[in-house]
Amino acid sequence: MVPISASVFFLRPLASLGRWGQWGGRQVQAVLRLGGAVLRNLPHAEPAAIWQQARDLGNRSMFFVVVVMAFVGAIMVVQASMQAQRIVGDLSIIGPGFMQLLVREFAPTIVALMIAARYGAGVAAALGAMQVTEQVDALRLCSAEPISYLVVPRVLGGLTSMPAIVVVGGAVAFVSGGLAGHFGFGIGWTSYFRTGFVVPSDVAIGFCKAAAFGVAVPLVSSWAGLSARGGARGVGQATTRAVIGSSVAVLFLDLVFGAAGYVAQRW
Amino acid sequence: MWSLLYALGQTGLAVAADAGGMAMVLGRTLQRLGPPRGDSRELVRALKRYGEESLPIVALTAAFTGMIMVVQGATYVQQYGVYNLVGRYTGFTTFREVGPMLIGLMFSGRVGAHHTSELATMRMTEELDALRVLAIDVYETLILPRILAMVVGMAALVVFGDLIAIGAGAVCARLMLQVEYAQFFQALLEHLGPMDFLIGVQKGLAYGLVIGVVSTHYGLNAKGGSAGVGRAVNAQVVASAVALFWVDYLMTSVVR
Amino acid sequence: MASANPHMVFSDVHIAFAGKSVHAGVSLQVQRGSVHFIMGQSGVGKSVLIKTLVGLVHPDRGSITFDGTEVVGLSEAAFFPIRRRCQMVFQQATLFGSLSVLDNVAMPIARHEQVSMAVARQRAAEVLESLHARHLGERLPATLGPGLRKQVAIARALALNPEALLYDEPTTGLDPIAARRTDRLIRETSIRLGVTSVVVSHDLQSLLSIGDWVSFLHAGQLHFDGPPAKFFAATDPVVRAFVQAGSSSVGHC
Ligand SMILES: Nc1ncnc2c1ncn2[C@@H]1O[C@H](COP(=O)(O)OP(=O)(O)O)[C@@H](O)[C@H]1O
Ligand SMILES: [Mg+2]
Repeated sequence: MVPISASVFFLRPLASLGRWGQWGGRQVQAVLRLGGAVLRNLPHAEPAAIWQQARDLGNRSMFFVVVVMAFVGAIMVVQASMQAQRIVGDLSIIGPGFMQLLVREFAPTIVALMIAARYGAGVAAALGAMQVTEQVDALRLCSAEPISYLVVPRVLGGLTSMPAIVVVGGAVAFVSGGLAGHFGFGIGWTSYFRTGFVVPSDVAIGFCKAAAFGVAVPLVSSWAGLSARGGARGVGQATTRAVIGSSVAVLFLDLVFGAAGYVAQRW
Repeated sequence: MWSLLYALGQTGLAVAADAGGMAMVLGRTLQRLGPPRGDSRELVRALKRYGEESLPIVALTAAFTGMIMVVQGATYVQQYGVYNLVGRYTGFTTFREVGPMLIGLMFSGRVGAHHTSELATMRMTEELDALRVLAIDVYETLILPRILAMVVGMAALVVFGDLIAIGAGAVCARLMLQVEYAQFFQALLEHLGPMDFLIGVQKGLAYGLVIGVVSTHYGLNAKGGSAGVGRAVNAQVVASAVALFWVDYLMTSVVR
Repeated sequence: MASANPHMVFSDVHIAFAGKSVHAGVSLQVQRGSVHFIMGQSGVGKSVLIKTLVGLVHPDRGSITFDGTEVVGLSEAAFFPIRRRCQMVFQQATLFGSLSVLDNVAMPIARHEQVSMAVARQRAAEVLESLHARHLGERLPATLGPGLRKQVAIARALALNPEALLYDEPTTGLDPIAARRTDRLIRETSIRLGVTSVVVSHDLQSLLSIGDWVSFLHAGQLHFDGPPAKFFAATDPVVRAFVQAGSSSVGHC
């Protein structure tokens, strides 16, 4: 017999961990199935609809991304300068080092997390409202395939516009970091605004991440919207699921690409 | 040109109105703190529910955070052979910056969003008015206890998340860079003081308050049926993110 | 109906939303203990008018007194004592979904009378009993039909022993049997407890069976004010149109 304390402190958390794992596995499966359907429907993609979604993503998120990335740049340069002052006292590598980190890591990831909050939630709310009011079924009845009509343009639109927004966001963060470094720590303009550390493989990793996030965020959000059930409450839950789900997808892909990049560089 | 200026002006006005609304929520909440006039049972219930809602997602996020930090540094570590620094920089960045921020973003997406949609739904169905007519103060019964629960909950989640992130980071460092656990934790304990840890907890407290105030504001001011609930939740997530980065900036550059 | 001591007095009430006028100088009085109907087409501002009494809507101009106390311009906190004496039953019943029927009624008692939840539940059970709804106690609001929900909402409004009750469209959306039962509850409550009842409605059958008085609003003005018999016999074209449009359903019952 298992002692009570063991069952409370060990088995029960383990059991719920198992349940969460199972549940998570089912969600991932569903998203991947939707991804497969998107691939099958790629030939029917309409350039006009893709362009529309790409612009929608940019229009809705640009202001927000610029504001957040301006804060991110200032925060990171201030933190790094404080550390550098304490340890080495050399602030000249802050600029190029930050540039490299931005390209490889922070610009794609943070911008994608922000897009998940701004655009992903909107996609889920729109598709979720269509789903609970049976408009998606109506589409099916007039023989329009909902996936190619609703999801494919959003995924391809994300794929095209995410890298562009990442570039803008990264540039804003770099400039605001330069301002914070100059006025807070006296870092010279010419020593900060250098790109010397960035090598082609950094750009490649950053671009691959941005493209992958550009697919993942609309895909997960569309899945969240299309699986909405049960009126206004269901739409609200779908919105939350889109934000959380696409954020987790972004972090997971970030980890995968980071590890892959590390392995590739060693060879 | 003019339309751009006009749009900027409109945005400015909207931002100012929201900021004013949040200040009002904060004021009314603080006003009920002394002497405390909140519902303590609701506080306990909210704490329990927020914990249940966000523990799995925070654990997952924290594990990713720790691993990403190690992976990011891996190239430099190899290049300069500074294997003894892995534990140090992983702990430093996780405790002070990345941990609280990512946990805050997830908390706002989960708990803040839930609070907003609940208040917004109650507003649409006139339940908030029904409470007022029963001469029951919404701030005392719902808002103050839940904002307190968010403050306490965020701080606790930061502590919990830090532990998970460090554990995951150590495993990742062992697998990728063959850094022994002992070396990892030794570097962490030797170079980091309690301050590094406490700054993160302090950020957790601040972020909890920010998310509480922002999500309350958007919930109480939702308009326009069930689509309005979705819009309020979306606006809440976005505004919380901006507010979190803004507070982070203040705490990093002003408080130091 | 003018009398020496009316319970509620609206004088020259003006209300506008975003520049759009809803009420442009409405004056009327509600007598103590009466069942007073406020009628008019949808969107004419019936709900808005009664919500001013409990501070959910604030008039732009005019005066409203409750038992002699001016309520226009009161702060949210100053409305709390008024609300305990003047309760409102919302159109959608608005029960708290996470609480059982019994706790919906017990909650305001526990909060206001400084008694334990057990005592409050006992009192709540008595209130439910008086409305023939004791047997619903343990159920959740979502499991009740609209008629029963309305019954519970009335019980919750009575929990604080108010001296006046505002009903917002109590029979709208109910089937005829539930609607007539709700009418009877309103009348019984009025007689048993002596509360003043203000009933916003466009249900002519309700007016016919339980109304003492009717105020008819039209285009932001009080268009008719008098006893139901006169209302049904009125020659005014607007009132006639309203009565005739609704009388086909009256004829059926
Ligand atoms: N909070 C509000 N904001 C703006 N307009 C409102 C508000 N409440 C009511 N209105 C408007 O006032 C008018 C009267 O509404 P209401 O009193 O609900 O009508 P009814 O007579 O059907 O109860 C409607 O045109 C409505 O749109
Ligand atoms: Mg109405």
